[in-house]
Amino acid sequence: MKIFAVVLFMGLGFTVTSCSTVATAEVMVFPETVSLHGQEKTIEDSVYLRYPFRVRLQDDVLYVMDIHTAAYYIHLFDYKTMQHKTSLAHRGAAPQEFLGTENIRIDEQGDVWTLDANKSKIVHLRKQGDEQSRQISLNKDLIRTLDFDRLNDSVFIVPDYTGQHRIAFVNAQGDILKHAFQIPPPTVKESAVVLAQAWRSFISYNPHQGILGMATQLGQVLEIYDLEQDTVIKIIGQETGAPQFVNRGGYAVPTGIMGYSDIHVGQNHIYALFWGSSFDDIRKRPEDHKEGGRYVHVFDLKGNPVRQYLLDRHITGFHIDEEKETMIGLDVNSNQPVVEYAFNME
Amino acid sequence: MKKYLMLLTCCVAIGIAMNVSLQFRFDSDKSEITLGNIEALAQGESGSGNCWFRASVDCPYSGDKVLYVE
Repeated sequence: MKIFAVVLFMGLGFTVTSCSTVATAEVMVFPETVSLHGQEKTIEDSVYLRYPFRVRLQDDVLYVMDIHTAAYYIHLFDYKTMQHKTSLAHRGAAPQEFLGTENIRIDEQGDVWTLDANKSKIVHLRKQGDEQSRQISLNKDLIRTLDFDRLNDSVFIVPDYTGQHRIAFVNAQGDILKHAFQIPPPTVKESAVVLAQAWRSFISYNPHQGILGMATQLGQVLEIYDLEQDTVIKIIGQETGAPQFVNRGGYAVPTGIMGYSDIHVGQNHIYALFWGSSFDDIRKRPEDHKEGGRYVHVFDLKGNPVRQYLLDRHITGFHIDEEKETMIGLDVNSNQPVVEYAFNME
Repeated sequence: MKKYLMLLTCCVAIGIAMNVSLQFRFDSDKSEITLGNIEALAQGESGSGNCWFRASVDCPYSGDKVLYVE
């Protein structure tokens, strides 16, 4: 009996001291949760993706961006056969090479654009090897632009780390045309740059609706702006989901959660990929951590929650086709990262 | 009753000690851990702090994409 008690109490003591808080606050309530099961798309061994983070599909060409590549950052595949077609954006320090890529945007002509945050350049990539890419050096007043989207043929939308405004509009020469909106004010006074680091967000703009969506990586806040009317439509989760951080020597060190990692503003809905993993848990047990999120939060264009999809695996980025009701996700934890999901918005 | 109370205190103390010991060992092994496709490298060490493992969080010290920042 005594031995039993000793074992029981030891177990109790160990369990109690091992517990940690999971910072996945329920800041958003969705009317329903729908489970989705993915279908793997097998890539041949010719291309090894280390950390695929962005995916786009246009005209049966699949564009996959790998942020920790050894050679090329962007790979093109024939989506029907998953045969590798070509690769773009070679890693390197030379003028035509890249120190990193943040996103892929494809314009109406089917041309591919990317952003190199480390070189502070937006680059128009040519698909043919002999063509020269066109580089737009961003104005030096912008600090570390980490995402971009196209407002129209000649203007880009960019967030950055200056923290004075939420976004800037830059022209095809990289000059700032104007700024818009503000980072939601914190409860305590904080440096603008640190605040901007903590509020680092991914963006998506729908030119047909004039709507810009921004999703925080280090918190659970979704901002919806009408760029045609220059108005805020809704900021969801500002009170309960604001990024948590500490200022360490003028840098924001995140202490809350990994929030969103991708967003898509469609014709009818806004889709945001949510992780919800706490940094506390990641630091303590990185071997248990799976990169990516299993939740796709769906809102209408006014910001009302519609539903959330619960995925069968963790993904880091997605491509949404509202018309075909399909989603392509990137499972970085798998050797076959490209996964297709079918959903029904009825 | 007093005996049981003492025993309980001892057990909780042992539990705490075991957990601290495991966490200490784990921290010292950070650079050895492999996370599937995620490389276990400390990145962006600076006077202010460190960034750990290659992943998708922007390291404010170096600009690398990492798992977490300290």
